[in-house]
Amino acid sequence: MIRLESIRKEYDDLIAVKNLNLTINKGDIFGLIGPNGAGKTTTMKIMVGLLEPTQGQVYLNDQPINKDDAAFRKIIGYMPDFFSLYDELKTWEYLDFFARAYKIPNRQNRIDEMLNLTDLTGKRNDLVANLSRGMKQRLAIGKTLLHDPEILVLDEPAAGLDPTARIQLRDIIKKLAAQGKTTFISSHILTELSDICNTIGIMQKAVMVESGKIDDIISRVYAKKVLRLDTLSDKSMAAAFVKTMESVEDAFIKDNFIEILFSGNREQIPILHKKLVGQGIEVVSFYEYRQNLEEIFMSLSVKEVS
Amino acid sequence: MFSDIFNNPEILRNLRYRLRPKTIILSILIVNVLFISIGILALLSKYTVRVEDWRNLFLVYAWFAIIINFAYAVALTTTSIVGEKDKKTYDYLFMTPLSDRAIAIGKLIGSTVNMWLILATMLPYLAISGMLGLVDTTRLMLFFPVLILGALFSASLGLLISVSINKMASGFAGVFILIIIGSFSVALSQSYSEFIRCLGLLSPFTSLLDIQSRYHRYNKDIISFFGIDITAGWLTIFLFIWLTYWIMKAVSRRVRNLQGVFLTQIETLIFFIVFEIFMVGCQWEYLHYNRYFNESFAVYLITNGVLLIILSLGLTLSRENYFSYIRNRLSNQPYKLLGKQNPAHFLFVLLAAILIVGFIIMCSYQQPLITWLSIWVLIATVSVFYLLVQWLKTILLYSGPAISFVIFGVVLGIPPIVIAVFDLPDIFYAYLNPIAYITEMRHFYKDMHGYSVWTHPILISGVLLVMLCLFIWRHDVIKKTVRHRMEL
Repeated sequence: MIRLESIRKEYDDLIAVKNLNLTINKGDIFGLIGPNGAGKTTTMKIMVGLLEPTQGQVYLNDQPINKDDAAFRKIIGYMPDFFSLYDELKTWEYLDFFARAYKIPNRQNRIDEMLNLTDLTGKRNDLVANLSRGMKQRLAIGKTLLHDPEILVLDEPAAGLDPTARIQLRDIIKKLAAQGKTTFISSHILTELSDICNTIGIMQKAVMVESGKIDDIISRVYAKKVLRLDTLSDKSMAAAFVKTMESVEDAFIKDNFIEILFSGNREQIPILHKKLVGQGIEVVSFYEYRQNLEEIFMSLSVKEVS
Repeated sequence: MFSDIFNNPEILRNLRYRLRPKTIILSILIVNVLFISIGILALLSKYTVRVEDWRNLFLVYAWFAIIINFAYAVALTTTSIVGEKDKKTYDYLFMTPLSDRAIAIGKLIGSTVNMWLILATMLPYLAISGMLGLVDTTRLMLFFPVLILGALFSASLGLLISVSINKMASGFAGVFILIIIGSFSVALSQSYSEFIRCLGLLSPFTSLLDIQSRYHRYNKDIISFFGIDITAGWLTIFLFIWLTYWIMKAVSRRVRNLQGVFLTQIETLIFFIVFEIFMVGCQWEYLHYNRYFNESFAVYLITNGVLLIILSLGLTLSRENYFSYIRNRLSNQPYKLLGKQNPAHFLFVLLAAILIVGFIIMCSYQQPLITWLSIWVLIATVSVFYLLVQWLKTILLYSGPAISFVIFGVVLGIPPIVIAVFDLPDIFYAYLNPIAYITEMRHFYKDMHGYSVWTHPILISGVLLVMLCLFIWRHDVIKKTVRHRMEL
């Protein structure tokens, strides 16, 4: 479990993180999203002990992290967003360096396991310098998982990976979560996060503006449901009719659909559908439209701007 | 402590990649052939070559080894920790459970891998010279520890620079400043001849007969420490161990926390008290025989005191507090005058100014005849300073150890070849110090060999002139480098 209490980080005149409180439970996959400069990387670095907060405390498994105590580093697997590897080493030597640093028993077996997991067995004796960007990214993931950490903190782990490798990475993270490992992940590819994360946080200008389960955030951000209607009838007339109905706040044509802002409850949706059909509107499809992360993020950004 | 050395992944990493290129072996062989050639050329000289002259070859090789060791060790360690930051590899390293001390020791020993290799290549020379009866083998007991500990000490200095700066370019600047200060201070110090004598005493290649005939009252390799005769080498060993220990302690503090303090106030106090006792002990004889004029001793005490205060502040305050302390004490006016708001730049300029003034005073006080030349050398050297930093960086970082080794070998090998080919006497002194070569050799040659050595200052001055032209030519680039990259 990760707990951040009143975290604040200042650099001279700049406040990078402002009063951040966050709890991530064991086995959760927490996705952190936000524009560049929002404070995501700073938050992650504070979480893993690479940066000291100006104020506040980080707890890992209810223990406050102490920079002088090496024990907490053993339970964290951190992958930074911008990183380099020791190019002058061979692939297996690179993993061996960290295996020795973490004092991993049966080093060779574990190294082979990681090379296999990241699909780099064939590159075992190649110099890291000669690996492609995607391969280096995979090697970094292998290094991060090498010591079997309880907590994974991954900053843009999918950057540079091809689609297959991304799917593999997603599967690995899900598998690790199923084993009870806690994952904290940031990515700019929001669809990817929504696929794997059960909780998310949205940071903007050093502040965590939203955090929690995705459904909860949607209901908080969008107080009204969005229904989508596709019809063969005249769309303008259909939209005008819909607007007159109970609990409908607004209806308008968008992307060849009629989008309905509905303030009623779930049980009222079938009644609405019946009335549409009863009015002779030829319904092709009628469903509740679920916003994706991108839209939530954009919606919050618009709020912020306004 | 021992597990930090024998089970240290950082050392193993260095061993793995530094010894991987086969070219490193080849380049060491090339350099060895170079030095054998120098020896043969010396033998072919029209002047009578005595058996002892062979010692020059070994001395040259020893010097070569020392210069390479020190320069390489300092250069590598200087960029080691800040280099991790520059190359973005440090997040991974610092997230490992390796202790700060283990990382620091790993960097220290790992960066001197080449030194062990060079020392190994010296062994055949020593074996041959031992068989020929040219080497006083008992001195090896001192020579090797001094060489090894000296390299470790200089490497630790490099590490200290590495944990005090933010960019690798600044590290190279630091190395170069060390080399310049070392170079000038040795060449122009009052005890320059004593410095040579000490080196001679330490060297296993100096025969006992030479020591007895040349070194007058130093008829044994001893010096007076608080009036007690102690073998000079052991004192040097003690000094190296003592300094290296404290430097590494300070470095460890800053490995993961670049803003932290180096030493606590108590530690700093202990360090300086012992260091001062050592320094006074070494000069006890001069004091005892009243060879120090009172004024000189007062100057020594004052300058030493000021230096200690500055160092103590630097060691016990964090970087931020140190600069804000100086800013508060000096106000912002000097920065404004210099057009800079960064106290680091201000300190750098201040240090340079002190060095130049001190240098000029020292020159005019001790050797007025060569003042003009020395000032020229200084200006030219400082002028090309930034260019050389760039070149050094290119050579040491991007061309790899093997090519660097060959480049250094060839550069260092050219003067003795020139000397041998043109039958110029004495290979050894050319290596001691290029500045000393200009300033001291003139009289030496005239007295001992009747040579006119005016050609040498002119030759070296010519080289410096070319360097100055280069500086003018690349002035814009250098200016840009100064503004944006130097953060001493």
